[in-house]
Order: sequence, then C-alpha cells, then structure tokens
Amino acid sequence: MIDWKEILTRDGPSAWQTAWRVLRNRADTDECFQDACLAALEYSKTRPVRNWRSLLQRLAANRAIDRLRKRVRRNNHEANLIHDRPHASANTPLDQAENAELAERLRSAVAQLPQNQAEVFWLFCREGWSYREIADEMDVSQDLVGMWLARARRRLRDLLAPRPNSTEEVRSWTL
Amino acid sequence: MDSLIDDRESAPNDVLARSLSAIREENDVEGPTPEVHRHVLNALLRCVPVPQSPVSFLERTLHMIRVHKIAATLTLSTGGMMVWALLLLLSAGSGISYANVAEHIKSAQTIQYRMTTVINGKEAPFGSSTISIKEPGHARVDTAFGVMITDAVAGKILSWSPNPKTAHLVTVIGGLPEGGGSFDTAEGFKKLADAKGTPIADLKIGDVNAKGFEMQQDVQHISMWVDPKSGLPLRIESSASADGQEVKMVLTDLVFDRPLDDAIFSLTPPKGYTVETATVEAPAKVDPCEAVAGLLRVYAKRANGHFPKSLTDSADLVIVLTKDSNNAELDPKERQAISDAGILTSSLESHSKGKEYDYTPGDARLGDTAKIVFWTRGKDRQAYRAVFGDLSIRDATQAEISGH
Repeated sequence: MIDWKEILTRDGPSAWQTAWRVLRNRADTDECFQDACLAALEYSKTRPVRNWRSLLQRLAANRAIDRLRKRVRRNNHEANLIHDRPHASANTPLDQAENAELAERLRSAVAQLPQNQAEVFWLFCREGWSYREIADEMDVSQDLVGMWLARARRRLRDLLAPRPNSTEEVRSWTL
Repeated sequence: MDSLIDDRESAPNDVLARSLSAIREENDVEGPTPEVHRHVLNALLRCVPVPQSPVSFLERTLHMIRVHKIAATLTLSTGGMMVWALLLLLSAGSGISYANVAEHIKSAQTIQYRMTTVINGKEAPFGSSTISIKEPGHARVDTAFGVMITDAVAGKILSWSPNPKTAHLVTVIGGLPEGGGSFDTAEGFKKLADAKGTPIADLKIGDVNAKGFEMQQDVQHISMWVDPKSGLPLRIESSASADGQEVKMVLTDLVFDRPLDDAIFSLTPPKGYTVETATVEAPAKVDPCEAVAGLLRVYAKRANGHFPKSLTDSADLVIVLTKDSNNAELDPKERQAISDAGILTSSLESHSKGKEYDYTPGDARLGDTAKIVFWTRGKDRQAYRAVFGDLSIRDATQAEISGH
C-alpha cells in the first residue's frame, strides 16, 4: 500500500518547488502540484514507481510548463506574466529589472517549445538533472534527450534574439 | 558527466546563458503550505481503496451517505430491485411461479449482498460494500472506509471509521424516509409495470447455470442472472452513464432470510472509539432546488464565486468544501447544506438528467441573475422550478429552460 502521507511529506516540497520555479505564482503552483500528485497516483496504478521524487518533479514540471504555455497564450506577452516575488539576487535595481526581463522572456520562449523539448530543457538546465535521469524518467534514450535539448536550445536562441520593436531599434538595425 | 551549459552558453553575451542565469538566481519560496499539503493528501486518499491516514469527517459523511443511499435506492425494505426482478422474470416468460417467489421476497426478513461499483471499467475508489438489511428498518453498510448502520425506526445513523477511531451518531429529526426515499416499493411497481425483460446468455455462478435477463429502464441498463430452481436473483448489474462516465453497480452474493444477529445493527459504537453526535433535519424534507442552492452557496464561497462543474463529482466537492475549514468545525448551516446536498446528489442518480432535472452551470458565477444553473420538474410534470446564478429559486417556463 502506498503511503501518500510519507511521500508527500518527503518529496512533495521538491515537486512543488519545481512547479514554482516555472510559474512563480503560488495559486498556479498549488494547482499544478495537486495535478501532478493525482497524475502520479494514476501512474502508480499502471506500473511500479522507482523514484517518487523524480516522478513527482517531472510531472510537476510537465503540468507547470503546460500551464505556463496557456498563460503566455492568454496574456500574449511575457510582460503580463504574474509573479509573486521580485528577483532578489541582483545587485542593483537596474540589474534586478534586467534579470526579471530576461527570466520572463525565457519563460515565454520555453512556453513556445514542444512539450518534450520544454520539459527536457527545464529539467536539465534549471533543475540540474542528468541526461540519464531524464531519460529514465521519460522512458526514452539518452540520445533522444540530447537531441531534444539541442533543438530546444536552438529554438530558444532564435526566440530570444533581439527583434526590432521600436523606431530606434529599426534604425539601428538598418544603418 | 553532462554539462549544464553548452559552449555558447559559456559566452558572457549569449542571451540564452544570461536568461538562464537570471532564472537560476531567482529566489525560491517555501511550499506547499500545510493547507495545500492537507488538501492534496485528502484528494489522494480519496482515490485509494484504504486510507492510510485520517480522512475528514465531512469526506466520510459524504461518502457514507452516498453509499448508503445507493444501497437504499436499490433494495431497502425488500422492495425496489427485488420487485423489479419478479416483473422482469414474468415479462420474459420464464415460467417461474410469480406467486411463490413474490411471497418469498415480500416475506423476507433479511437480505444480504455484496455491492461493487465500477466506474469506466475500474472498481471505484470506495471499492466493494457489504449490505445487510433486516426488517424492520435496519441496514448496515460495511466499506473499506468503515461502517454505517441505519435504524429507520429510531431515526438514527451510526458511522465509524477505524482510522482514526472515531464514531458519529446522527439523529435525524422527523425520522428516516421509508425505502430510502427515491425508489420505494410502490414507485418501483409503477415504473416497472410496463417493463419488458429480454433473455440473455446464461451465466455459470458457482454450481448454478443462472438464467440471464436484461432490460432498459430510463437511463439504466439492468442485467440479472437468476437461479432457475428458486427464481431468486444471484447477480444483478445496473449500469448507466453519468457525466461522461460509465457507472456500473454489481450485486453479488445475494442471500435471503439468513439469520442476522441484532448485534450487528447495534447503535453502540465499538469500544475505544471517540463518539461525536449531531442532529440533522430529515432528508425527506430536502427540496431539490433548496438543496442545490445551499450547496452552490457554500461551494461558491470557497471557489471565488464559481460553481462546481458537476453535482456528482464528490471528489471535487470534498476538496473545495473542506477548503478553509477544519473538518468538524464547519458552520452548522453549512454542514446542513452539505448534508442535504449529499442526499440530493445521490437521489439524482435515479432520475433522468435532462428530462426530470438538469444542472448546467456553464460559465455562470455567483450573482448571475439571468442564468439558470439547475432546474427540476414539479410533481405535475409541467411546472419547472429553477435555481438561478444569484441562487434565487423561481418558477421557470419551458422556453427559459430550453434556452438556458
């Protein structure tokens, strides 16, 4: 019999944090966390779970990215993303603002990736998982993980590249 | 060893590297909160057969009322399904003596059977129940969650759960409705008088080659297999679609007139249990519109003005209704509203959705005066009563119902 109380106490915070890092909004994170836990329950009915923490984190990332995608679509601009907390590690207000903008732009770009690429990118680059951990959890080969990651990076660079969005920028591009 | 960055990300001006760095430097916060942890745990425990830790009083009550009402709907007071079984046999021309079997069932003092609920081909989270009925008015339901005992004469319901060892004794003012309220014997006769049973394939049950019959009754498809010697049912399956889900109830191990000790219907909880007592109004007095409005009021209060998508999604109701509450510390009025709603939603399953009632909240929110979210037909089958988005209850026309 699965001891959900122990699993939630031991591994719940990690999964919640994973969703939080994607969404930076407590209400959305709470809902994703619940979705991920219920999805883990369904998963456990069909096959044995090797590592509850990994499973919950991956499902949390999956649900959070999905929610991020809907949020970005709805708002249609990353500037409208709702964050509960400001960035605190930057040294100056200017740094903070720049970091906040960079982070929001990256989230918006991640939301435009195919789900697999977004998930692999996030787990590898933000959560620090290895190829092998991702491959095991997603039940795919490490080669495929590497391919998804490479495509994700390529697409993200493209999405993050500066675009002429003001008269001044257009001028600077054309001169 | 995998690298977190590729070659270009090591370049200081790489926009992806800088964005990633910005994200990695963001602050983390503590979470989930204890409240979220508790709600998620409750949601998970509702979906496993045997809870490992305490399930809230409210959750148990809703579940037990639901199970009990299903049982009552099917068989309480030796009527309902058994009467239907006789009519089915007769209309199918089985040659079984109606008089003998009818007399046997009508005079039965006890019935015991096992009931399993199957949703979309899988056994429901609350699993199987064993139902024991003894005249006059005693019923007991044993489930994985605990036990519920009803004494219709005394108007009392005792339930207990071993984890934790807590018992609840509810006294129902005005007494319990005979026959479970929604499917009593007389009504069962009326509804089934014109029913036609069709023979289906036999089924080997133990050593008996049981005769099979099936029929359609409103939204329910019913199959049963009968012992050709005694004419008594050995297995009954009732299936219907509800909210896009296929729900089947399977009755097995049916035994008539087995001596049942009065002690198993005792209203004294087991030793070592903490007992809580409560008094509620008789369920028979529940008005559908009032009950729905009461439930929606409590729900919307906890869901930012939104209404539940379904009145029968007990998992959603439990999660939302226990929000911001401390189980037994619910406001008495809210507790009453939830109790009424639990009874109502179970009885709705024996009525025809879309014909006798409907619940279509759509995107309505609390305060929407123009939107009908629930309607039911009056006894004369002509008049409609409706609950609007502002939770007012008014008469409604056919056009309004059709248009909502």
